[in-house]
Amino acid sequence: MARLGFLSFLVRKAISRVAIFFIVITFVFIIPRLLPGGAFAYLIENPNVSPETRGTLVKIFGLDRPLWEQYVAFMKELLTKGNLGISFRYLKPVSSIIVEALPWTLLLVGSAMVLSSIMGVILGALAAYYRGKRTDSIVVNTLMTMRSMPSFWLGMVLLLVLGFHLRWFPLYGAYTYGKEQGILEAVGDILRHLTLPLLTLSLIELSTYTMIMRSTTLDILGEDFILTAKAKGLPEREILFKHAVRPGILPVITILSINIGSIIGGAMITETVFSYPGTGKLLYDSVFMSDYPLTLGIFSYITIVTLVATFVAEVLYGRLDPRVRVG
Amino acid sequence: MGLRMKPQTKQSRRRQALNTELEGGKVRGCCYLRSRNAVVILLSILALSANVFNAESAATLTKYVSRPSWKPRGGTARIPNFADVATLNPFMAASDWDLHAIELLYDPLVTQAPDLEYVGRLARDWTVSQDGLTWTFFLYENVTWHDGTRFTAKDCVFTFSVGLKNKLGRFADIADWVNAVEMSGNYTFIIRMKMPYAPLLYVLGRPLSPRYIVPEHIWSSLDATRFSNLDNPIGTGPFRLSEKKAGQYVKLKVNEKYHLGRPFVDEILFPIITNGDAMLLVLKAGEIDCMVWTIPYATVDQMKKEKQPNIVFDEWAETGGRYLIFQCSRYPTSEAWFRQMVAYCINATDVVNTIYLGYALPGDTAWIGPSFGKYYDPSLSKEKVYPYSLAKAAEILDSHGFKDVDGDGWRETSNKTKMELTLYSPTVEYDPQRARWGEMLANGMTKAGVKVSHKPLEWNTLMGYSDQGNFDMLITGGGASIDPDVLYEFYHSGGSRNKRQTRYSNPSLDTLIESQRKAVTESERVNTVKQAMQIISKELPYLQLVHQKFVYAHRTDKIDGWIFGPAYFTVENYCTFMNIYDVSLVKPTTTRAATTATTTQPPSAGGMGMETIVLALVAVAIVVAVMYYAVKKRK
Repeated sequence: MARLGFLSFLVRKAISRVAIFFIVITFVFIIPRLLPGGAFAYLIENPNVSPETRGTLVKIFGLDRPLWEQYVAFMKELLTKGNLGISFRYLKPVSSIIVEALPWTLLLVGSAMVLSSIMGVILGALAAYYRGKRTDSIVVNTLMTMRSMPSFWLGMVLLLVLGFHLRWFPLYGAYTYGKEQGILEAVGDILRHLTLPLLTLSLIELSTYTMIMRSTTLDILGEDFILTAKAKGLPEREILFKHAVRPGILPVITILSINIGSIIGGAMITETVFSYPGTGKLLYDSVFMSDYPLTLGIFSYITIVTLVATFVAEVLYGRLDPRVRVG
Repeated sequence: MGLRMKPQTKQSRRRQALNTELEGGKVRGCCYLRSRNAVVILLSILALSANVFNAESAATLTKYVSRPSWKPRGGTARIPNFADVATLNPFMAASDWDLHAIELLYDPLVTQAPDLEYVGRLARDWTVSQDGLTWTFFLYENVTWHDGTRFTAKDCVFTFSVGLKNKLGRFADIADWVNAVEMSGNYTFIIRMKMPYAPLLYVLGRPLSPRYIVPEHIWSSLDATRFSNLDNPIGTGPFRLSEKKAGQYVKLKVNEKYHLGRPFVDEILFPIITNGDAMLLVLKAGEIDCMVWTIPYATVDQMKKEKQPNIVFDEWAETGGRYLIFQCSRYPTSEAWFRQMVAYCINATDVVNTIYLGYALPGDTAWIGPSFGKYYDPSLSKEKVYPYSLAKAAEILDSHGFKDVDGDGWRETSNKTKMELTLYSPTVEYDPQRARWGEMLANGMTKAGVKVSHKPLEWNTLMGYSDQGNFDMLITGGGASIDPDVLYEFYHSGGSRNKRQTRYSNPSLDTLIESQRKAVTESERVNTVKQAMQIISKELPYLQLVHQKFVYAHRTDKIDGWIFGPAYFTVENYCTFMNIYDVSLVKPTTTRAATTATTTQPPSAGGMGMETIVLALVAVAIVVAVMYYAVKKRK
């Protein structure tokens, strides 16, 4: 019975996720087409093309058809062939463009997410345990200071100091372009290029996870079972990391699962500062240049990943906290 | 050091009496009269009647590219790209960043050199018939596509047919003017016009976006509007695609068999650097060879004080301008006197000095600026025709009955209707200069008693308003054609921009603009354009306030041979890529023309920069904090 209940839960959740997906991409289909300026507005002052080019491109890409007609054509392609369309700018299938840029974004944003969440859990737990003391004060004040820094500014400072003046790290790119390298050398090169953007993103995101963890751990440390653990004479480290962190980590997982979707589109500023190839800048450019299929494609990926991640998080809740039952 | 070209070339001594010039490019004149002998005169007349002007060659690449024996072959030039190369389709590419690569993979018939001369790339020579209707291009016969197939006139016919039929890119400029394109033999390409069209050579060879020729044997089976051409682009250009990594870099390798001579460098690497500040740091560190993004003015001044070796600055005054559009279909901006009144409300010299920090030229009331050479008329500059004077502005308003009748501090129209105008501009984030002088202009008009509100708008929104004519006054601007036919687009009632934006109509001006387009002799064209300029200066549907200058830079310690001139905004141009060479490969015993000092050390910031002060303060703060905690712990 429990198994049937669980299956029923999975099916209901899956159906709702699919419905949400179609609602989201419908919105994403319509909204860019309603933005002020109209399609290809960026070409208006572009001296490389004739003023008529804008109208020509609108006709070529069928943007002069009624909106419902464009929507039906798009849905037909998506449902029958799984095709997200051809990018207006790249003139290539949208999926292939996203797939090319995705690995670097996953590496950068994924690593930053993992690093900042792990460090956030540790620092948050420590800050909560030593609440009111020097450790708590240092952690909270430092992270609040870093949080208030614009990511662009922080990135530029790191680039200037660590990259340009000290020459510890490269100034742009995902690796040294155009250079032949062996595997180990290439891995090292990639890691060197990754360090500054990773540091920037991690430092900005660290405060979110730390403060959430600190807040939930403070609540948990007031629970009776923690008092029992102390009365049993358990070491402080065991009380904190074995008994308090585990239930306290649930909100962090929730935030992570929501943020996982933003891996794909969420590092535009950092990618721009460090000239790091990725889908963040791709998304920004697609919106600015009226590349509607590419915008829609990237948002589709974001939506799918977010929906899957939140679904997995819901299931994981039950595993991590026995008080929460699924189905 | 780079070779810098003057905007005007000298007349050839051999050509004197009859020189037919159309739109800045030289079309051959044929006759050279020394004697008043009747026979000679008769022969001259007969020669003039011939369908072909002289067969004198166009400017050749040898004027710009030197090939001394000491110049080495090899090396890699590192030229940044500010954005990814999205497509290598010459028909569909609109972005500078795509076109910089396309420019080296493909050739057009002609190209405009930095000094505004025209260089034949696929065409070794060309002629125009006396009636201006038939353009004949004589093609090089030793050109091959990158896949080894011979290039012929058939490729030109194909390219033009596709471009004109679909009105792709800049082909749309001439689509309504071309009657037919054809070939005569394998190496003669003919364009037959419906009417004489003076700007044709400029359209075919304009900087960065000329009409590139594509191979018929590849493209004939493709949809030109859907082909990305990223995988293995086949052109005739001096380089071919070696590697492309999306969002990371593009690498081109030299075409050893290029018909105009092998370039000197083996490779061009275009790393994608998406941040202008980071690009400048990379240049200073010596990891790229030039800037392709403008350097902020304050940074330029600071760098000049630092006197960094091996970095040369390139200042370029835009060919277009930063201007205000008046909506001529709405009252009172529909009135020329009102537009003149607005022009009196702002001081262009002040704007140049305080907002552009001296990196601009005051604008011109008839659009045509100094880079237009003989068409330029300095007496029509904004400062001469409409010098700043709020008193004059008030006088104009008073004389037309625009007075403050109800005592609220704002003028009403002559029939006592309330008047409030809106002035749109880019935001401070997008373009602080235009946003600021928009504010200055609004303040000036306010002081003259005109109620006006200044509203900065996000760029695409601004463009949308501009394109729909949904404004009273709107500030925009940018680069534009340096051929006087640019007047058609902006001032002719049928001009694409005019129809959508300012909606200004003046039949006399229309006639003059049409005439300049059909002019067969240069003197006729200059005269007609200048007449049109007089009308434009008085009517003022656009108020061009400044020609902004952009400052770029390049290094000379690794790559040298840069060529720069008014046709191009950076050193990144075809002539440069054909001329540059790797300095490190020059043999020590040879003497080279370049005289720059060389150094292998990347330049340091030098002096006590702001970043050093900040670092020092942070270090002091850390030391103090550590000492404080140490003391507290002891207690």
